[in-house]
Amino acid sequence: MTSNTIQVAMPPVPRAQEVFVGSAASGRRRAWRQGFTLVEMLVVVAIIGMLLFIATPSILGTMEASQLTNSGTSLSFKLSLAQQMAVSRKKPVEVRFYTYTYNGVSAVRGYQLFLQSDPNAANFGLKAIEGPEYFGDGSVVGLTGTLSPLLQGAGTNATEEPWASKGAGTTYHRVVFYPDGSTNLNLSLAQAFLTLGGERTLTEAGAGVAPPNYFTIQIDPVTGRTRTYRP
Amino acid sequence: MLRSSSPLHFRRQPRAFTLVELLVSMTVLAMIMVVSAQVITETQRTWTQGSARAEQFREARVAFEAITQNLRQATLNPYTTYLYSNGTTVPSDKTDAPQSYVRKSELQFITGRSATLLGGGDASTTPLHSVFFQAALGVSNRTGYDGMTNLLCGRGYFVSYGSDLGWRPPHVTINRNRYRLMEYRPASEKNSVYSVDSGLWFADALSQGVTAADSGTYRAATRPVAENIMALIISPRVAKENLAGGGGDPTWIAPNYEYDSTKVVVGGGNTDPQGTQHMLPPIVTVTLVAIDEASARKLEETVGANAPSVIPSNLFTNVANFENDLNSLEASLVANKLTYRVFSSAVALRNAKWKNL
Repeated sequence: MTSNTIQVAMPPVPRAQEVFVGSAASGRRRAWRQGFTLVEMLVVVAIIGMLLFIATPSILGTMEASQLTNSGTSLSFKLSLAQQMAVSRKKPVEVRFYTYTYNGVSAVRGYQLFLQSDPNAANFGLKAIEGPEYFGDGSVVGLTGTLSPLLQGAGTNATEEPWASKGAGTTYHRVVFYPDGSTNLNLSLAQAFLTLGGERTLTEAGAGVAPPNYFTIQIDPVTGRTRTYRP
Repeated sequence: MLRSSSPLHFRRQPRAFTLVELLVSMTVLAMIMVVSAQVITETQRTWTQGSARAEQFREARVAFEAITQNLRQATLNPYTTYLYSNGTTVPSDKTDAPQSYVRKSELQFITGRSATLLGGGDASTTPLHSVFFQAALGVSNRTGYDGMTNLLCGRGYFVSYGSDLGWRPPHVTINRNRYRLMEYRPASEKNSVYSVDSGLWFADALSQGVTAADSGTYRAATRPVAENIMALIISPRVAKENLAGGGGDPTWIAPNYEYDSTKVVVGGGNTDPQGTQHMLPPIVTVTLVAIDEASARKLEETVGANAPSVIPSNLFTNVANFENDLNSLEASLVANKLTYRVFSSAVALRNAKWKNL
């Protein structure tokens, strides 16, 4: 009722949706083009939403895959660097793989390189070569069980360095590269590997079942050379 | 009422697109999509290839560094001793007078064709050359000996073609038949005094490959160090200043790429009756031909488990043809559409006391 009276009382002004297109200076009759209606807008938004909904899983998958690739490649580079550093500096180089809880999930999430500067000093005179590196933004983790025998047999200890810890209960596995090129791994070549995967695959795939996408890095216990395997 | 008087009233029915307009717009859209799809595919391919190449040749580079670094440390520990009438350094009885004073070594430096040196080797699965020597590389099987970096042990390098079945992680299902650079690294324990039988001490290099029998306590002596290495070419030679009068052929010590430190080879204006016996070559030219992973995969698809016949036979049998042979090999790689890189370096052997003897 009220709206009716207002409409009648008002001069013929364009509706808010209508857009002025013509030019007053041209002297032509004013042309008014109709804008989008609410329904049209809703349909467009719905279509965009649907497209996003369809595309999101594949985009997320692609992003996760690229994070996995980046994490895996940089880890294999770092392991190779550790081996070469041990040979060239004639000092053992230790790589620690940190396990800690993030977003409520405990997993291997990062690593750090150390130089064992003095075999006779306490804790081998351990010196950090660089700060810890983390896999992706927490979306990539080291998979456990038979997918990473290397993270089972390399020994585990509570870490002493508080700055390396991301919370209470951080533990580490370690791999040591010796100056003769060998490692501390007491494993066969076929068992000396660790596998990175998306955090989701930690719960989705069963123990020992390789997820659709993984990044396996093998370290030769005798020569210290690394080799990578992708599906 | 208000509305009917508006001029907009006659435009209430918006003009629809005509079929031609639709067709034109669809054609333009299709063209744009085709072009962008092509660009994306091309970019992705280039990127993948580029990163694969960088990664692949990184492995080859690391392996090349390892070979040259270890080869540089090769040693023979030669000494001089009396030679008796029975042809050995041990007199047959008290009255046996020494015949001559000779250079002797219990160790060996040997290069040559893998198919010959490895005994039972096949030219297609173990192509071109290999090198075996002793050096202070400190490899030991005993725990606690890992700090003894000067232990003398054997070392060898050769290329072989085969599957990774023996050492592939169990969850990896893809088989990789590849050319690989293999490192023969027997532990120091296998290198006890007088144990180096010339030509025999490395005879198990092929059979000692990593198999399922490999474990934490039993370590196979021959291990893969780099994948997709097509060829290893080893050419021992002397330095210019070692040539009599500064001229002549620097490769006279191994004109067929074959050098055996236990053999007597005389030449190059060298007046020593023992020639090159028990001497290390002063310079060893190491050439490594690596291909990238994409090329290797393509090669595997064409030949399967059989060794591909990419390397023409009879290459690198005569040093005089080195450049030609290398060109033929590269031409063959190009003809097979393989992306390759050649690493080459002249390694000066630190312990080669060529002038002093």
